[in-house]
Amino acid sequence: MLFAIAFVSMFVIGGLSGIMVASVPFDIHVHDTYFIVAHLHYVLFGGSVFGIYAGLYHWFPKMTGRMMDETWGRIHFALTFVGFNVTFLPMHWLGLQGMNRRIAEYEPRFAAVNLVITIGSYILAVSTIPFLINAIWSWSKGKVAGSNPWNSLTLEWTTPSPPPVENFEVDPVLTHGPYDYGHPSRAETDTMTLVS
Amino acid sequence: MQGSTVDQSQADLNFSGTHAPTADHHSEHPDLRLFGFVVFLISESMLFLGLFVAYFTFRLVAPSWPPVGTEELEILLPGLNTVILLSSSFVIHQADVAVKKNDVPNARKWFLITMAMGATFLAGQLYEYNHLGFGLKTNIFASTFYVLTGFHGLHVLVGILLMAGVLWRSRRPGHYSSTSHFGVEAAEVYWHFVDVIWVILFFLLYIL
Amino acid sequence: MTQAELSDPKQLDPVVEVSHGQNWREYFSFSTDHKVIGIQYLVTSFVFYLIGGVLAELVRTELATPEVDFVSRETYNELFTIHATIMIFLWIIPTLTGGFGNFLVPLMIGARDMAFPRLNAIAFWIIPPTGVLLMASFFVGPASAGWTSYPPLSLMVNKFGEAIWIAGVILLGTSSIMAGLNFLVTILRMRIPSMPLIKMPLFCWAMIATSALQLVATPVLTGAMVLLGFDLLLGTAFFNPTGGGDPVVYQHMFWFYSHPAVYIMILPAFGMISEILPTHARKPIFGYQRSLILVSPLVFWASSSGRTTCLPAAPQTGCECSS
Repeated sequence: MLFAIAFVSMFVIGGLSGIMVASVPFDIHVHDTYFIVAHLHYVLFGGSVFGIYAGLYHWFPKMTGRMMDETWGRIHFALTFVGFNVTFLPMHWLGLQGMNRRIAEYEPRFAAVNLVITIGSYILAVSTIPFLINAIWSWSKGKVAGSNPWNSLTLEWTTPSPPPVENFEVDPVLTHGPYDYGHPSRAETDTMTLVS
Repeated sequence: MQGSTVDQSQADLNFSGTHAPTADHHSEHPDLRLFGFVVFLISESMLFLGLFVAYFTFRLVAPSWPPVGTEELEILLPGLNTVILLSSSFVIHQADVAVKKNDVPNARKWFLITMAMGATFLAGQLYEYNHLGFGLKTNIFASTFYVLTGFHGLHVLVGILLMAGVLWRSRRPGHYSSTSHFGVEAAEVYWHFVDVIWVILFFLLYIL
Repeated sequence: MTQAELSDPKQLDPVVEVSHGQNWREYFSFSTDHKVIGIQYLVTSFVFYLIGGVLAELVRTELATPEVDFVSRETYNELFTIHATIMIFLWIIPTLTGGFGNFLVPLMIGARDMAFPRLNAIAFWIIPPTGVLLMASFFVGPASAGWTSYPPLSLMVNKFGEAIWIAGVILLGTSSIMAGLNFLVTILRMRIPSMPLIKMPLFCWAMIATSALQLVATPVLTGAMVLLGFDLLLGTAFFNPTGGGDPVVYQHMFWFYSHPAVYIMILPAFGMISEILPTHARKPIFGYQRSLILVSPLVFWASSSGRTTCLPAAPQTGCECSS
């Protein structure tokens, strides 16, 4: 069974969104500086966009019936991860040192860090290219996925990929909880056991 | 994989066993439109709530309310309007009762009366607008007054149009019946909603 | 170039091997199939993501040096304003709720489609014209007061662009309300009989919370935008202190939306992560019920007070990461 499109990446991404949220309390102290910019981009980019990418890789087989390429996925992830952190991590320092947001010019002492940030943002921009190549190539020529490439338990994987117009041939019936992985009672008996 | 096969066989079993919505796989879900419509109205009421709260804040911040020199609001005409709008809620409920008894002609009659009452209300509003001593830009009180009543008036207008739509559809015999009357119900619920909003508005603007 | 690249895969007919797959032309039609709409959302908002990204790169290029050299100050303001607006209203929200929500929710709960397929299609088709409208405002000088658009600044510069911005936000808000309504009704009423709420995947729970937030918070933003539009176009003084108004009222109304909006933007992502991690880790999720307890008060906490909202999120993420 093809196990993961970089399971590790997913895990890091998931952990990442936790770090993002943990950074919230700081922003009370550094109003209207680049710290805010860093914070909100960590939340929105690190949380949402990484989550979106994870979701795209995960459900791409369901949407198109094809697997995405894992190598390209890893390249994409590495570039995004590096670009993201090079771009937004230094903004925390800028903010703590008092660089104001929303102003086109700044004191020369911030110049070096800003240059680094700009370079990081270019890396981030470039990182979408592997993703686009991957998505376009996989959509037409990727490996055929089958209905449940991840061996997942939620209902969307019980129907063919991509799903037919009315989704299910017959209405599915739930026999197990959504996350009963490794549960002894799952495959053998159909009794519903909820993991708590 | 294994999970999915178990699913399939189980699904077949269950499908023929308990409820069998015919052989074709297209099981119709129950009519959710009314539920959806009510959820929409909840959302809509948040729009008004936001405006109400804005009104309150302006009012609290202002040194005197209404600001000095603003002409006092006449209460007789809006009061009459309130009575008309409120009683129209009972009238439209009669339409609902009628349609549930399969009495579409009577439902149409009640709808027509409600529309007339709504139109009277709107005419009264316009008359009031024309005779007020302040315009939209006179002061913050005038602005909020016009925006709040204007928004509500817009909703009254939409309600009248909704009823007109229901009337238009009901000219075909059998379109509405005691079992299928979403349009009638939706128009009724909407009209009650418009009513409630007006009562709050009236209280806020004229009484308080 | 990026746009052309993006439309390429559709011409290659993505679903050759599956007989019941959709024709690529369907992705450009007013389809009511939730899966087609979901992919329409994803592709459209990805295009906007690229556009917003280009704007961000322009901003960063300007900031590469301390002086104002690459673009003028005014252009800089316009760039970051539209960048933020596009990223929030045309990329994150449509992708997470519209894209993934549309594609996954009916499949996860075993439904045939959304509760209101046509409403769904309308909600999507509001988005591309609005996005084009926002971009077109660059020809007349777009809004440049930041994505928060605080008065009085937003009422003083680039009035025409600001009007377009207000119209755009109202339209996108309407679309978002329609989508939220659809999700809420679908999840609450269209689950297969064998799936009680407590056995739903966490993503669906996240979508319930998100939709509720959209329904409750977005109309207030619309209200704020209407008042701002009155101030801008008709010369009222809701947010103008000299006329007896109060700019702080705008801020309250705006943040009544935008605090919960952070959750609109992050909760579906949490939901997806909590689908993906257990699948790939082959482990049951830890603290399913506790996560639910945390998701539901989020709705209220997020609405009432911004600062306390970080509290429930942290343990929730903790739960998910530990699975």
